[in-house]
Amino acid sequence: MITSMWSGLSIGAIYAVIAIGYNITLTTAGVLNFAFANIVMIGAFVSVTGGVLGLPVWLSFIVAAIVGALVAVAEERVAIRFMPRGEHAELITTIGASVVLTAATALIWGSTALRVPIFDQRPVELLGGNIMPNGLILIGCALIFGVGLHFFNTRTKFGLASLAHAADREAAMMRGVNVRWLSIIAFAASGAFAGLMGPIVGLTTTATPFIAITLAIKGFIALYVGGVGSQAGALIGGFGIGLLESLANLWLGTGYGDFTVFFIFLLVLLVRPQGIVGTRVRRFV
Amino acid sequence: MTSAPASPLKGGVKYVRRPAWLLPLLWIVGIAIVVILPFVGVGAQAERQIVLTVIMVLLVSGLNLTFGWSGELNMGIPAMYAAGAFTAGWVAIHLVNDVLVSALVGAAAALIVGVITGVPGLRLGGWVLSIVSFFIVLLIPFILQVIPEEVLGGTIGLIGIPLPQIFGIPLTPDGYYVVVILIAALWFAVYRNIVKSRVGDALVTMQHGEALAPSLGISRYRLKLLAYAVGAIPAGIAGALYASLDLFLGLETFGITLAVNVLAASIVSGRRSIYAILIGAAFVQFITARSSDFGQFGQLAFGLLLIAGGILFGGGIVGVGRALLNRVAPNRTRRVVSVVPAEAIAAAPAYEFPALEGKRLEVDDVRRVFGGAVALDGASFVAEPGRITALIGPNGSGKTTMLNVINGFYKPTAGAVRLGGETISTLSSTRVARQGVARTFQTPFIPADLRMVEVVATANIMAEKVSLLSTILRLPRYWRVRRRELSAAYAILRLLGLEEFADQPAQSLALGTRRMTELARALASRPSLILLDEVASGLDTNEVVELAKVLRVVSQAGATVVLVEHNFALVRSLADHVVVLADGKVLTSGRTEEIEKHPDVLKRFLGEMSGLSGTSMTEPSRGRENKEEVR
Repeated sequence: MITSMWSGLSIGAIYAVIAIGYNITLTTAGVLNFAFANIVMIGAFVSVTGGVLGLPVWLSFIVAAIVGALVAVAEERVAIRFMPRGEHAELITTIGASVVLTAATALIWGSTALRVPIFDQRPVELLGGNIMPNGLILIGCALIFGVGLHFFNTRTKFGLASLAHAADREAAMMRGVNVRWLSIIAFAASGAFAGLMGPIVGLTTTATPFIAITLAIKGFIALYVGGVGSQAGALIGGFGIGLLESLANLWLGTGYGDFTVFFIFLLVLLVRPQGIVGTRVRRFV
Repeated sequence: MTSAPASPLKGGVKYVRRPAWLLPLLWIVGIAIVVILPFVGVGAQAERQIVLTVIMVLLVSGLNLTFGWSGELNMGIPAMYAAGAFTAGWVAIHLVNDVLVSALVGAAAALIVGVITGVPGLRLGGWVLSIVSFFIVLLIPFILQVIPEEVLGGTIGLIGIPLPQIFGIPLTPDGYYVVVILIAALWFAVYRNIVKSRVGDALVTMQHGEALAPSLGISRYRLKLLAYAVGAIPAGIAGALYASLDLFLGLETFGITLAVNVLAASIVSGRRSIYAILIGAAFVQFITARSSDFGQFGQLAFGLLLIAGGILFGGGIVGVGRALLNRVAPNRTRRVVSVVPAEAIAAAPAYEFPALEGKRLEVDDVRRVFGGAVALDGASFVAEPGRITALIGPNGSGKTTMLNVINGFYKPTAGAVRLGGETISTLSSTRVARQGVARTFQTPFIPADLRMVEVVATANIMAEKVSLLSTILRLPRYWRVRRRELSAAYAILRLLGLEEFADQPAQSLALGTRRMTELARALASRPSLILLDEVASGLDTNEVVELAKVLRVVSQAGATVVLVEHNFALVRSLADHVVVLADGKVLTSGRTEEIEKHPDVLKRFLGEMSGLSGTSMTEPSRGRENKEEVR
């Protein structure tokens, strides 16, 4: 059971990473980037190519971060910049971007799952259960970025200012904030984050284009259950969903993890629509 | 009236009437042409492609009901399709093998999936609905894994579906083709009759922000759930038809690729399209039929299409075509089918406003706090029926908050609002509207794509209900109600001098005209209490005079009129009673002549903050506040 909990936390860390990535653009540009998980996968593929080319691991990470940032900025330019306000346009354009990136990665790197060659790992025993070393790295990364960004958002002036801008674009523009640049910077930062996490996530999931959609959806549920806009919530949601999934697979049988997550998600929607740490926002008049 | 339509189009418009039999005739002729294709030499391969296209048409119409008509994105079409297909397949194997039974069973199964995902997903809508519906598509393999293999074949898929029969008669491939076309044609008529009706108008109204529909007594959630659930039906039927086409159901058919394909088809057709669905479905089917040649390039193209569609063409191929035509021939005469009933135009022009049952409004010690900010701090006043009560005060004094508390958008933190002696401050805004409270907004809320007369008629949607069945079958009751409400709307427009705009898209009209449209809509609900939020701003002098005349008529008809107004000249000439708000409290209230001379009022508003003429209390920076308060 401890082993199950460790694997739940490891997979939960991936969901948390996705949720953190969503929050980065949500809290600055006011856009949820559904293609974020695709950029993570691109990061994983870049490190695969880096391995083939014989690049040192640290260079692979840097290249992955740069490629991730470039892809995200390209997405912002093409799919977000000219979006009409309202009408849920970002739903269609970022889902479209996700479809494009999935197809593009499948065309470039093929449809079969590839092993990410950062390091070889063997399960280690910890607190009476087994865990892959990379799981610990994932958990650590999620915690560092989640907690770090949480304090960045709530304690620093820039973080608070960008929260305010996301809440009211027009007001931000009137105060002379360059909203377009803010949006580009937000996407570049989230893309770099995605690229950087790509090899680490890929080490656990393997590099495969078609897993991105599953991660995107689970990441959204983590974001939502935790409370949209809160990085601390993203961590709680991510780890919670991961644990739930893993323990349900253990206790109820393989395959039931997803059912349980779905059921809990519906329950949260019905009982506590603002999420666990979220505050109720009235969107009305 | 002086305001000219702000339509960017040149060229004339010709209003025409279309005979009622024309559309059904075209429909029957169209079906007949498609049905005879196999018998005039179209081969089996093409026949199959047509059937697959028809299935795609069904799926797109289901998606459009949510995506286009209620503004929510449903990615769960493959799950509804799968539910229909597997259930119908199982029933055909084990219980009854009949195409019609299959279609019904499939529709019912899909409906269940729709309700399960829609009830929680639509509470918040937006991303939440998309993700909930997306997730259930991802769950399909696991669901099949969990169900014993003997029942649905597990992850291998369902095999052994018998050749289709109808009433016990085995169907040849050609026979099945005909049956598929007929069933789809029947659904298509149902779809058309739902969206081109009061229900469609209500859906379009509901999409225009979160405040408008409740202020008309329309529940957004219920309407969205209705559209979403009804949208599951064609997906289920499509699944049932597909099950009997290939007699085998594989898992790969019901994946995310299908969701993307259907969405792409909907984007090409236009999200609120009807007939153009045929084009979008055929286009996507053409590409997917060659997907072995294109491989992932097909998905790449569809993904780009989604991005482009999300940004550029909400109107789909028809919208693009129309825009091109407008560029090529801007001066052409457009033929527009008039929606105003002929008898309404023929009716006597002297329209007598019907008596309204006004109710006394009591605002009793209302307090409303937002976080730490006190917007209303124990305000009380009374508005009597048959009188015009004006609410004045500087910016931030709580006028609009007061209106929002009265019509139920905000619950008061303390205190109560009573209408005709009954407490309404505990009711939802939807319920308050149904008690006979109508209102207008600072920025007029006029839904896109509706004609002016239709916008006005939306006020009647909740007052006179017509069942969905009557709407779909266009029973006499539907026509009776529809004609009556459109005639009444036209009569009100005539009263306001706006009848020449009745058939125009209301959103394209000038601000003053849109404001008057809102007023007309508020009047059309025959309100007991009518709340007007800065109804005169943006109107020119003639329009203000006209407006004052109308408001007199309305109050004399018996209604209680409450207006928030910055134009003091209008208040002076119109209001019987004035309530002055300052800092969330009632500074003073009384007859207009008294207020005018009240020393506090003079000092606080008319002296210091007034414009040069001394008649206006408007500050130049109003625009910003409007947007924030009413959105």
